[in-house]
Amino acid sequence: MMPEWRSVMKKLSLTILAVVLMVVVVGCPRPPTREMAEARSALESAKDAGAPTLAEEEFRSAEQMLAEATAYMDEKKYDDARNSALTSKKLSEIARDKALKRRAPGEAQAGEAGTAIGEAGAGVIPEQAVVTGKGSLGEGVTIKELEPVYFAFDDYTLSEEAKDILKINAEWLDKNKNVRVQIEGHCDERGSAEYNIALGERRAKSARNYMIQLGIDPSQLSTISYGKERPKDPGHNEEAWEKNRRDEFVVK
Amino acid sequence: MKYLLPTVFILLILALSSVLWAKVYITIDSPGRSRFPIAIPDLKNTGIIPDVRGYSKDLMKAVEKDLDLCGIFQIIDPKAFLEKEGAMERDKVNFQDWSAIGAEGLVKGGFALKEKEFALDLRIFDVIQGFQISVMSYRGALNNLREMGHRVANEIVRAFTGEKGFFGTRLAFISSVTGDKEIYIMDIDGENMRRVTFDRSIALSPVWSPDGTKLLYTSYKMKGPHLFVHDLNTGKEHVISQRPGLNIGAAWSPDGKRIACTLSYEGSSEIYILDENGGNPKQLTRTYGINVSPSWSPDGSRIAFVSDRGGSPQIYIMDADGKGVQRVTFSGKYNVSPAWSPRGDRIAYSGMRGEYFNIYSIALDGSDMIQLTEGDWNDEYPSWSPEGRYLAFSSTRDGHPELYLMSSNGIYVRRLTNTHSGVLCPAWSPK
Amino acid sequence: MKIASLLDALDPELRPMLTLSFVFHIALLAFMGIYGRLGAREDIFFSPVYKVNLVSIPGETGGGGVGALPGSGSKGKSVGVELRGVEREKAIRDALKSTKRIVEALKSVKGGKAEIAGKEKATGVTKSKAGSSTATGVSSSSGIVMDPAISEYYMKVKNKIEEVWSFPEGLFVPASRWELRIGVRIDRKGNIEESWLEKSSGNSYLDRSALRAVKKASPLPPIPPEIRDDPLDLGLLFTSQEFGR
Repeated sequence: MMPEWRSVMKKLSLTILAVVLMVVVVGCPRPPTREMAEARSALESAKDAGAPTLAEEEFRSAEQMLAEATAYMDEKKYDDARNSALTSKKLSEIARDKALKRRAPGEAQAGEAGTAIGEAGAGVIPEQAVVTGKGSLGEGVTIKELEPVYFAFDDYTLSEEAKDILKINAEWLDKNKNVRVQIEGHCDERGSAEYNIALGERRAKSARNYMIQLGIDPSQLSTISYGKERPKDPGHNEEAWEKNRRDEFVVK
Repeated sequence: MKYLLPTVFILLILALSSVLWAKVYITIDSPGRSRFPIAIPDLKNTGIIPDVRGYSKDLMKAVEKDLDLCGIFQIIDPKAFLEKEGAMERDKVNFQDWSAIGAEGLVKGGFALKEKEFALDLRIFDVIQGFQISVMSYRGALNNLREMGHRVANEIVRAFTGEKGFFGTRLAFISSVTGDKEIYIMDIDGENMRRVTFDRSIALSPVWSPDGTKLLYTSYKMKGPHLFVHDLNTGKEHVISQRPGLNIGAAWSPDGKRIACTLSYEGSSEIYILDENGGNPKQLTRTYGINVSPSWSPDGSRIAFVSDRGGSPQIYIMDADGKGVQRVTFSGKYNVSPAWSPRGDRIAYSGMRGEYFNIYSIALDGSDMIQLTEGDWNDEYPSWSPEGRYLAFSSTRDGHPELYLMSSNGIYVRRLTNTHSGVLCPAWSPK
Repeated sequence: MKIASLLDALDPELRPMLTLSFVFHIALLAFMGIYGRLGAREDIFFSPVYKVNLVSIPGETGGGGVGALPGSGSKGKSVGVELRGVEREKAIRDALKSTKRIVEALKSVKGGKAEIAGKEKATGVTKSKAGSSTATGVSSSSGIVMDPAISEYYMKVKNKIEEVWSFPEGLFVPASRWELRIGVRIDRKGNIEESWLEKSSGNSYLDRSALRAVKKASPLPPIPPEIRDDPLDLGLLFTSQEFGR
C-alpha cells in the first residue's frame, strides 16, 4: 500500500514540476537583451559611417528609439523595448546606408525632396490603385491596397492580425517606392479629446515602426493623429467603437 | 475578585452621576431647504424722471434670474408680500411682515434716472436677526443694465455667503453647430453667445489667459495639431507651437508667463513648459508613454496631468520643474481631464466606471474621493468657477453633449446650453 | 460614631475603597455643581457631552438606532435598578466604557475637551425594539438609553429646526466637514428665550444661517414632563452632511 502511494506522489510532483517549468519558460517574458545589443552595435556602426552629420535625421531617430528602448527595459516593459530596439536597429542601418551613399564621390544629392522623417511630401498615386475614400482633413485618399489596422481599447500594440495586414501593406509600398503615405491614428469616442490624440499618435507610430522594421523606407511614411475627432462610424456602441480604433493609410 | 463587585458598583454610580449633569446636544444635519428665501420688492423711484420704459423692473428681473441660476436663493413671489409701502431705512423696515411670509433675506432699494444713467441705492437685510447686512450704490449706463444687475447679484450672494457670485464671468467652449468644431464664448447665464474661430477645421481645448483677454487652443487648421493664441480684443491670432507631432492640451500658468502643454517632437508625448511666446521648451516628463492634459495649481508651483505610466490613464501631480511626481487616482481604470480647484485643495476629473464617464473630486493626496455626478451617460471636461464653488462640465444626459453647471459637491445641477449640436470642453473665464 | 462603627463592621479591605469613593463623589458633585451651572455659556463641560443622534423609525437609514428598554417606565434614570440578566451585563459593560471616557474627559477638561466622550456617533445597541408605538430611537454616545418620551421630544425639536433651516450645502464650504454649536434656553411652553453661538464653524455666514434657523423654529414643542428643568438649556450641534454618494 504505502510504497505504491509514495511512487504515485513522486510521479505527481514530477509532472507538476515539469508543468511549472514549462510555464515559466514559456510565460515569463524574456528581456530582449539580444535585440538591445544588436541595436546598440547598429547605432555604433552608423556613427562610424558618419551618420550623425551625413544622415542626421535618420541617425537622431535611431538614437531616440534606442533611448526609448532603454527606458522600457528599465521599466521592465520588455515587449515595448524589443519593438523599439528592432526599429532603432533598422533606422541605424538606414542611416548608415545613407551616410555611406553620401560619402561616395559624385553622389552629391543635396538633400531629398524636403522629406524629413515624420513629414511626407507629395508623392504619386499609382494609376491602378483603387480609391476607397478621402483623408481625414479632406486631402489625400485611402486605397484598397492599403488596408487599415485595428486596435483594442486604450491599446496601441499590434495584434497578429494587424501585423499580417501591415506586412501586406508593406509589400505594396515596397513595390511602389515613390508613394508617400500618411498613417492616421484614430480612437473611439470614449475618453478625453487630448488623451485620445496622444493615443492615436502612438497607434500611428506603432504601425510605422513595424513597417520600418520590415524594411520600408521611413521617408515614405509619416504619421498624424486625429484622436477621436474623425470616427468612421458615428455610432455609440461597441460595434462602432471597434471600427474607429484604427490606423488609416492615406496616400497623398 | 473580591474587589470586582464594589468596583462595579462604584463605577455604576459614577456613570449615573454623569447622566445627571450632562448637557445634551442634538445633531442638526439635514437642512429642510437648500435655498435662502429672499424677497425683492420693486425699487422705489426716488428721482424725478418717471421710469416709463421699466428699466428698474428689467434690472431686478435680471438680478432675480442670476440669483436663481446660482442655486443659492429662492425668490419669494411678490404676490405674497405683506408690507405695502416700501420703507428703506433700517429702522422703518417691519421685519415681522417679511419673516411672516418666510423670507430670510430682503433687498430694498431706490433708483433715479438721469440722461443716460441709472443710479441705484440698495440695502440688504437679514430679516430673521433683524439687521442690515450691507448697503451699496451703483451708477451705470442705461444701456448696460445687465452688467449692473450682475454686480448687484454678486453682492447679494456675498452678503449671505461671504463670497461674491460668479455673474459676469464667461465660458469658452467648442461647438460643432456649423459641422466643424469651432470655439465660442458666452456669458455664464447663457447670454451673448458668440463665435470666436472661423477655421473650418478641428478646434479643441480652449483655455483662458489669467487676465481673461486671450484664448489658447489646439487646432488642426495647419494640418496637424498645433497650438494657437487668439486675442479676444483684437480678434488676431498667432501660432504658439507647430512642432512636428503633437502640440496639444495647453494650460496657462497663473502668472501668465508660462504655458504647459504636451509636445511629441522628441519622440513621445510628454509635458513641456514653454514661455508665453511658445519658445524655450523645458521637458518635464520623460516616460516614453502618454502624458497629457496639464493643469496648474493656483499658486503656479505644481501641475496635475494625465499619464499612462502605470498602465492606464491616471491623474498625477508634479512640481513645476518636473520633480516629485505623485499619483493621485488609484480607483478606476481610466481617469482623465484633471482640473485643479482655484482653492488649491482638490482636483476634479472625469473617471470611467463601467461604460460611462462621471465627474469626481479628490484631495491632493488621493484621499476623500467623491463622486459628483452619477448616471448612465458621459459627464466630462470639468472646469472650475474662479472662486472654486462651482464646476462647469459637458454632459450627454439629455442625449447629446450640452454644458451644465453644478455645485462643487454635485448636489445642485443646472443646464446652461441648449444647442442641439454637441458642446464640449467648457473653460470658465478667470473673471 | 455610627458611621465609624459601620465602617468597622465592614470588610477591612472594603474600607479604603469606600472612603475613597465617598470623598471622590462629594468632590465631583461639588465641582460639577459649581462649574456646571456657571458654564452654561461657555465651551467647558465637566461632564461627558452627549451627542444625541436621533434616528427615525427602524427601517429608514440613519445612525445606529436604539430602542428603549422594556419596562423602563417613565423614569429616565432607570438604568441600574430594573435591569435583569443579560441586559444588566450589557448596561454594566456600557457603563464601564463610559466610565473610561469620563475619566479621560476629566483629565483633559481644559479647553472643553470633555467633548471626546461625545465625539463618536451613535453606537447601535440592543436587540429589542421600543415598547411604545412611536418607536423613535435615541442613542447617546455613552450607550446609556433614554426614556422614549424624552427622545421623542428631542426628535421633535430636531425636526422643527431642520424644517426651517435653509442652507445651500456645498455652495458654502465646498466639500468639507464643519460643525458649530448653538445653545438655547427654552421655557416650559417651548419658547426660545435666548439663543447664542457657543462654537463657531469658522465661517460667520454659516453661523448666521444656523442662528436664523433657530430663531425661526421658535416656539419649539413644549417640554415634556419627563424633563424637569425650567428653563431648559439645550445644545444644538449643526454639522455638515456626510456625502453619501
